[in-house]
Amino acid sequence: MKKALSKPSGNNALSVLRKGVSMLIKYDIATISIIFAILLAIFIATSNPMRLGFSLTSVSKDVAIFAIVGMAQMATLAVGQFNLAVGAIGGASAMVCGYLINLPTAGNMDVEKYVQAEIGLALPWVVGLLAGLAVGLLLGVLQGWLITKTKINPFIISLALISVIHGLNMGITQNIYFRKLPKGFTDINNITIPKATADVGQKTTFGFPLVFLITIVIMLVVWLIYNRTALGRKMLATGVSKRAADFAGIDSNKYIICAHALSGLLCALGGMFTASKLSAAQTSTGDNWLLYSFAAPILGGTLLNGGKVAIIGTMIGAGIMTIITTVLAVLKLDAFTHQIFIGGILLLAFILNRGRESLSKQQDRALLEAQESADGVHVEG
Amino acid sequence: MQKEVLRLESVSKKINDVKVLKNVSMTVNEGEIVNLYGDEGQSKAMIVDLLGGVFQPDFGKIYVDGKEVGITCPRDGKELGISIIHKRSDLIPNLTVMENLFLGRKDWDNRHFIKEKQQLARTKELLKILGLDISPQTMASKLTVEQVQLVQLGKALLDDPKVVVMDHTNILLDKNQIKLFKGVFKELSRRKVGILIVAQNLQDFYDISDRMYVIKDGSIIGNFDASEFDSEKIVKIIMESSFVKRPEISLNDISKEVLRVENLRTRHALRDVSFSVKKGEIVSITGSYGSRKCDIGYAIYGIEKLTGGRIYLEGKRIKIKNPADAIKNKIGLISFENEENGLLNNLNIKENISMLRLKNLSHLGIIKRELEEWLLKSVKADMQFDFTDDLASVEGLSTADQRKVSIARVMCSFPKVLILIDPTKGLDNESRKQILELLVSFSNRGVSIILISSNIHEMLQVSHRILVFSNNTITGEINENELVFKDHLNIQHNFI
Amino acid sequence: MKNTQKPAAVEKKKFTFNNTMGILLVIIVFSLLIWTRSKEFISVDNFITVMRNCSVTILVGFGQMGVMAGGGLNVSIGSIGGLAAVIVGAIIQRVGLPWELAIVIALLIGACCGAFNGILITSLGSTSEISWLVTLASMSIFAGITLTITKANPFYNLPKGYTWIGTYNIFGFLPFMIIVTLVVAVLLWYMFKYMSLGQQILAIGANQRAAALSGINVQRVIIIKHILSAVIAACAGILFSTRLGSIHSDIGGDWMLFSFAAPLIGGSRMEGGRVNIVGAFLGGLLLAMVSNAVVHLKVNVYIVEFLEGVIILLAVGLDRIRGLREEHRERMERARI
Repeated sequence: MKKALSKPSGNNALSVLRKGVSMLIKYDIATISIIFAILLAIFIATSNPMRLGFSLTSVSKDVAIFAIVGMAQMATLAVGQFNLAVGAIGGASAMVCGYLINLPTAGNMDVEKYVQAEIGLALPWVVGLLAGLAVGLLLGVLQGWLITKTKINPFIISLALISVIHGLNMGITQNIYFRKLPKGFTDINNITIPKATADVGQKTTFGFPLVFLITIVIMLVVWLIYNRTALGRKMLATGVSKRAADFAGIDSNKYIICAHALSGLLCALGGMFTASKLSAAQTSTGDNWLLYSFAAPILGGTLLNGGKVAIIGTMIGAGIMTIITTVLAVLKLDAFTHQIFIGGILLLAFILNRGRESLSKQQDRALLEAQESADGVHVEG
Repeated sequence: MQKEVLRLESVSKKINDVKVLKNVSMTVNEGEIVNLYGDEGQSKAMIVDLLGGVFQPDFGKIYVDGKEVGITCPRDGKELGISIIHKRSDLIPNLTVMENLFLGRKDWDNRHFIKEKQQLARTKELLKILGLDISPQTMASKLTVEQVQLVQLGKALLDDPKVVVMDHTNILLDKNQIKLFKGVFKELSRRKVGILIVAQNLQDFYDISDRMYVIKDGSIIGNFDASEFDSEKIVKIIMESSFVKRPEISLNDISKEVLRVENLRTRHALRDVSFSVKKGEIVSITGSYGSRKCDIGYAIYGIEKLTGGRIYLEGKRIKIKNPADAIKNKIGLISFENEENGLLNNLNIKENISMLRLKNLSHLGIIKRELEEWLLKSVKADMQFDFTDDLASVEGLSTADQRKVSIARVMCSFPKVLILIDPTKGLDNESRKQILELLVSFSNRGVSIILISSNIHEMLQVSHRILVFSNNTITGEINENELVFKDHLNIQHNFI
Repeated sequence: MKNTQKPAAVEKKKFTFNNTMGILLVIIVFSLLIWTRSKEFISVDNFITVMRNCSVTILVGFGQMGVMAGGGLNVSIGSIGGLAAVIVGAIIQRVGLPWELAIVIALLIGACCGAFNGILITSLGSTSEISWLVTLASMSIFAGITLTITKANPFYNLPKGYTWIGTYNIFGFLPFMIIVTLVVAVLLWYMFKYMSLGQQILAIGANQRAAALSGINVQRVIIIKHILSAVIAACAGILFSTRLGSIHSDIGGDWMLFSFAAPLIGGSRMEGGRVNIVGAFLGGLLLAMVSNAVVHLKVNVYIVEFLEGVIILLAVGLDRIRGLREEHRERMERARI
């Protein structure tokens, strides 16, 4: 039989490292803001000064979309779940909206990769927008309802819904492209305040894109919900522990559905912003959202297990992702290396995230273990 | 001189500001059967955890075979020759008994392949020693609670241990089951294996034990040799702590009935439960660990689905589908199991307490800070709580403070009936007194209390009535007049 | 519904006969239905096509199943497959080594990918959420590496020996590809039933804490299972490319979804602890048949994706109902004792 002697605690180099890391982790918003600032500086430094205004404007438009998609995922992370169908819901909403507002054209079709749609209802763009949002909301509610009612593993439901929604989207629209979108709609993407100029040969100026400003407003509303309303507080409570929330008298199922509904709504918004940006509604909208939808919130400090959301952090996270993508392009790195970077960043962000989690939950865990061994599992008694 | 196999020397351990073990010293010798008895508290569980490598002592040393050891993980303990049989099932439910016994044992697997024939033979041998009449191919999920423990004992035997620690605090066994265990223990003792039985119930193994330690509030208060065993004396020692003044309301028949349940039935635990509670009355429900008495509380509170029966509040029939319904009907529940205390770790004290009244504190959906502050102040004054920092996260609070926050939260909704499950579990003496006094004050104010607990001690101190739950129904009732502390021993045995 | 009260001694945890029988029934009924509409559905040629298609699908499913059995998941399965295929192409065409060696190297690199996943997951905590996130990130990383190697140019002109694997039919009607899949199936079956590794994986999936307390080295097993999964994924990617005749970077792009479909339909549990190899095989077969039928019936080809999702939901739903009934029965039995 081997002997096990007690090991002395506290290895010097390791504990210094640990202290450094824990300091880094604690100031989470500060850390990522600093990283963002550095990246922004690099971006500005490496840009052509003539085109800088234009670049910044276009970057902020992308940041807006990533931030919305990131918040959509954050909404479900808040209750401790994943929304894997973010892309599918975004795509579906975009197509519904597109169909409603598209101007039907007769005659020539562009014979290229996609089939340009001749159909469309040419309704006012506001109608399309509202319809798209409604679709997102409904799909979110559907997901939430399925998860709470059937008690099937939420991951499976979300995964299956990707196929169901995307398949339906593709099937019904036959993968056509709605390209004749009204000016009011595309203006959402194009308007900048103050008006940015992008004339060739002259120095481009920067202007805050409308999408970006709308996103900021939404961010504020979301912040308000989570910090000041009963709805938000109860959603976060459900996320920390569904069981504890149930016992506290919170109807956790209701709040899970609410979270998914909010998520769906934001996905829809993201989808329509994309359509506005591209001046076209296409079914491929949302295909690459999955990774980014997790990256932004996690970089920002949202916990995977639920109960904590970092709203400003998500925005900054989206900013970081966008700038990195853009900087990589500017530095003329292989477009394909992007993928490697993005994946790597997600991993790093997650590792940091785990560090945060474990610091805050260490004490909790010890208590949990102590109580577990004292009480045993409730099911038995 | 007997050869010592296991020794704890001056071991102390603190968890979250509670001194769970204070200078504990114990010895187990070769072939000796030692009983560790103590009423309630985390002390016994902590000793098991220290030997199992889950925690390490703050002070003090552990010796195996006379040599000092450190146990930092479960495998350390195993390698040292300490086998622990946990009360929680450590068996994998979808594997058979045989597979569970040999899971992870390298010498029983031929390189990488399972030696089925040899395993089968050895399993049959073991099952015989354990006195279990089951097939080696039985699914672990189908075993009863004591069969699980015996199979776990079998696993321990395969380890060829020096000392076996048996965490027995969750089972109340009938005579046949006890006989099975006694047989195995005697055999082990014959083989010079030391046995430490950590028990909840005094009488189960005391006729085969060589010695008994009694632990209370973290300290060893008695080390008795077999010849000195006297159950009454021991119980008296345990019970000797400050009694809480009994509730002053002496209920007469005119007192209103507040809650009545009839023929409650749930899918798994309740068969036919009926009782009623008067205004201001404290009714306790006790039963063995495996009896699922907590489900009575869960059923009334809406966590468990009722498949039959009726609930009447002040004479009117009510339907409760979930806790939100229960709260609307002025029924509150606080369970002190993990996660069931309803404490939300991401929120601070203030936010936890106000959780159920948010609608009243909001204007147009937005929570008004001043109103929340006011609520917190009133609650604190009312219950005489004091927290050093109201904005502190509940995660960092001591167990006692956490309980207070839970209670405060529930009381905010002004319940007429308060269901409590194991309210003083894991608390030190002082906090226990505080909580029990609080309950008595609630009762004086007219709140009816249903106290579901395994702790006879606390039940005897504050109850007007005690109901005994076993075989999925209420099998006995003890009234105020009959409550004497001697019943501590009798209650559990007479009514099962 | 069939009554399934089996004596405890006979009941095995791995094969739930209901599921397997159910899918078999569905397959037979489905085949007949489609055959009435389109006679070519049941024909030698179509058989060959379906077998070729499902061989990859099932293999991908096995890769996922191995990880699911232990309670985790691996969404990078598609990109590992793509990476492996691309490495074969690169080695054959750029380095000039024989294709047999290229396959071995690609499988080894696949194993490295698996090790990467496994090591990261175990050092971060080994839960299923962690598996999800780590493999989501690694999916992107491996895909990026794949793209960097190919620079978006596919590899053409693959050696005859290589493409033979994908095109040869034994006895003229049994594609060699499906033999590869069958071999893997048998190996997996053997591992889960007779090897301690298999048992340990299932144990970890069923109850990680108990498994650790039993002395199982949980971390080591998780890393091994990820390596296995990655090697199977690499195998699938390579197999797929032997049929195409060219290797492009898109291989594996859409695998994530159906890697879960086949095992789940077959009755393996998402949380782990139970696998059904025959079921996964049949599940993959069913999915391949559905895609194939759609072509024959000349319906909207996008409907396949929709149906895939619906079938998963139905299969898992039924499985859950069955599970609830079993749980209920067990608790009633125990309560009475």
